[in-house]
Amino acid sequence: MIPIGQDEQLVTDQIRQFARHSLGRYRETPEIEPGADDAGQWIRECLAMGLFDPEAGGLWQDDDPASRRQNVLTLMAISEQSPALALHLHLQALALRVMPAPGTGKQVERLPWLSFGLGPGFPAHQLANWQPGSGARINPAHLSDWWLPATAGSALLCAPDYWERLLVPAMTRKGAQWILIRRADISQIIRDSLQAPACWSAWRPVSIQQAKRRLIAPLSPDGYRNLLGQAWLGQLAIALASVRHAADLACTYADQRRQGGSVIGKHGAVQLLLAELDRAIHLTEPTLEKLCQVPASELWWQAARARGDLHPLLCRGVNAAMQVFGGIGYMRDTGVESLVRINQMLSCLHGTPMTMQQLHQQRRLAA
Amino acid sequence: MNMAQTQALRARTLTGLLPETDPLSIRQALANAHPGVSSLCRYDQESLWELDTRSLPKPLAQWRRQARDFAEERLRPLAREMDQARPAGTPMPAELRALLTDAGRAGWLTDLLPRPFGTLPLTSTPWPLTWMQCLKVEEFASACGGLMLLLCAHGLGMAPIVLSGDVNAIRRFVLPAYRQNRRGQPHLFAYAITEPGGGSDAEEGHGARQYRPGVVARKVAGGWRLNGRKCFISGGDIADTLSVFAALEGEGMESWTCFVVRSDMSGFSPVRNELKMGMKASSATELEFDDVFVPNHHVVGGLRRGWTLNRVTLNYSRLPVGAMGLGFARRALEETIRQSHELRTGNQRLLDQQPVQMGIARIMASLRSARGLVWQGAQRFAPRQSEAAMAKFHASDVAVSACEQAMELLGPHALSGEGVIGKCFRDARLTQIFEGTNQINQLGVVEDLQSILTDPGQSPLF
Repeated sequence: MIPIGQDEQLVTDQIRQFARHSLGRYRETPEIEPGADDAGQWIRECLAMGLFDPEAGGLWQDDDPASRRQNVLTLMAISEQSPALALHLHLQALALRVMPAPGTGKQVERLPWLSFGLGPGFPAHQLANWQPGSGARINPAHLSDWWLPATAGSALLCAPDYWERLLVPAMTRKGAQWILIRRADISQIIRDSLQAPACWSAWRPVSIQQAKRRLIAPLSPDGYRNLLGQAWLGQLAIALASVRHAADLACTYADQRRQGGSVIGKHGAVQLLLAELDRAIHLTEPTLEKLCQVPASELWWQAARARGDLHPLLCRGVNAAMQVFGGIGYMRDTGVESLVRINQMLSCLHGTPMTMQQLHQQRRLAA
Repeated sequence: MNMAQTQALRARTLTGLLPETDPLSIRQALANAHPGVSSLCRYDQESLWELDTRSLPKPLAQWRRQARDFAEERLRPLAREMDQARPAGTPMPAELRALLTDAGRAGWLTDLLPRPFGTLPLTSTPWPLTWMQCLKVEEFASACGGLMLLLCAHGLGMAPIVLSGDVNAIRRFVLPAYRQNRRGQPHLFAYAITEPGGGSDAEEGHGARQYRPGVVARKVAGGWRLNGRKCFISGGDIADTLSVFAALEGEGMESWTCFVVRSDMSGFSPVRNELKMGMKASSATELEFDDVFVPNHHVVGGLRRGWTLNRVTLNYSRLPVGAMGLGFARRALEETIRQSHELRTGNQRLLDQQPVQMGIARIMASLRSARGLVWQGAQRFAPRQSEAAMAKFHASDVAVSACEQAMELLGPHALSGEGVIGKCFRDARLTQIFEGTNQINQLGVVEDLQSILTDPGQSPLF
């Protein structure tokens, strides 16, 4: 377990209270899925708590070890109730780091989201290779205009349902840039479910060519790497918290459900499944703790390595939790199946484990 | 070679491999070799599905092709639209009714018995029924897991009646339903064993020994009164006839008896449909039996014969569950190949990348090894529990693993778009759970081989 200091505990309790209060009802009534309005309301509540406020040390506004730890704990506290919302907040906070928006804090609609949206030439799972300085090269043909979705169906933006403005990394003739696109400016959008709960979607803009794009800032290699490192660290923390939650559910069930004359927790088969869960958690926790301490310049590759190693374990762990439940685990009632789905998404979003491993090796070879 | 030919050749050549016109390419080398040498190995471009199909006996190969045609034509186009939960008590969507009507007319709802009673081709009778079912299920699953379950849960519901060998029951319940289905009036069956208090207990003897049955039959004049609840019954909300397993009042699981319950019997009601992760086109329904009167002649195979019938039915049904896994793994593989053609990294197709090529090869190998296991078990007229269980848990693990690998190769693209791989994963995940969890099936292997395992002096053992 990541040790929690007194101050951190205080903040985390506040977040926990919010998460339990605002998100808990979706746990109790699984037939209701949160919609865009609910998500907007949650974000408002987070704003009110100062979660995005740079002056109040909001999420990802600072990158010293203590702040990083605090960010991880905050994301985990929210993820225990809703990993999808934690991911929303995480990417929104990162966007605000690139594009500080003091004073806009009260207008949810004006807040940008970060999307590592990708166009032809860069399928999402190869995103990580788009490291300035990494071995990956961009086809100059894709730079003829904006390096942004140019072909119908080939582009993918992963974002919450209710996004209005997305901050997207783009490659231009002038080099890498952060640009802002507005939903209203995209003529047509095809929305796909990402199989993750709580209104996470993939968006395939049919035509983005005519959209106005606002240049926000040049994309510096170091800054981008650091941002990626934070994105991956947060993603791992969210996954860990969701698997911890799955473990709690599975252990409780194993202690109550009887089969063959005894509680199933006494069956060797179930103990092995619980061990799979425990292994995933046990290996991820210290790694996460370590990642909070590494220098900023090393975070991206250390986080890549950790994701490459640990996401598959976490997915296996949450799958094992579902198996403990048997048939009822497949139903929405227990809440485990949604954790299985979102862990699959967390595992392959912003670079798959395979890409993470390759990336780490590329860095080693380059060094 | 002109420009167009050069481009075509380039499109057919993956990065890191030689074009087929290169003198060092094996195809080019064999083309120039002595026929005696070139006949020693095969490098033709026949699909592996075709190769497997041609290795089957002719009637089975034809059956497999027919199943594929039906799946492609009728199941696949509906797959995405029908992938949603349906509350109990709501009318069946017109598309599903039309599908069932077509499936009935085409003979896919009446294929447990050979002609003239059913629609199983007479030429196929020298081969086991389970093999035929496995071939069909794989094709249907590769098109849509939910619709496959909708069609195949019907066969499972009918199976205990057919397997009981009770001619009167077959004549009374199965044949009229067959006639209806053939006329295009769907009459579906469902198989009801799972109870809220015991899922795995209905699947293995040790658990059953300790289990207190939840659905109980009380003897009354002229028949039995059933009380209790069953849960997670596939197709339970739309079935016209159900094979319901219940214990006799005051007795344990050894008294389990199979009763045929009609959905219009007083006291019977589908209470709710579960919100499932996948296979949503087929509902998992909780059923209530509130003093349902079942006449004596609705008892199948005799009193206290239900446990045996259940276990025999599971032996027959676990192999098709393995075949479902094959279908999901295959679809995930096909989709990975299709998308890795379209998606590019830089100026390379994904398919040009070594890790992607290796990932595809790994999925292919595991799919084909699982298919070998399923077909091997299915080639026995009387399936062995250990073989059926091995095929089930191995093939379902392969299916889930194939979907996970596909997601790893394609990233979020695997989860979006048509959602094919995400859907395959959600559907495949159920195959690790139903028909006994994979853990129960692993123990089932040991149960079957108990006497061999406790007498390791026998040699060779396996």
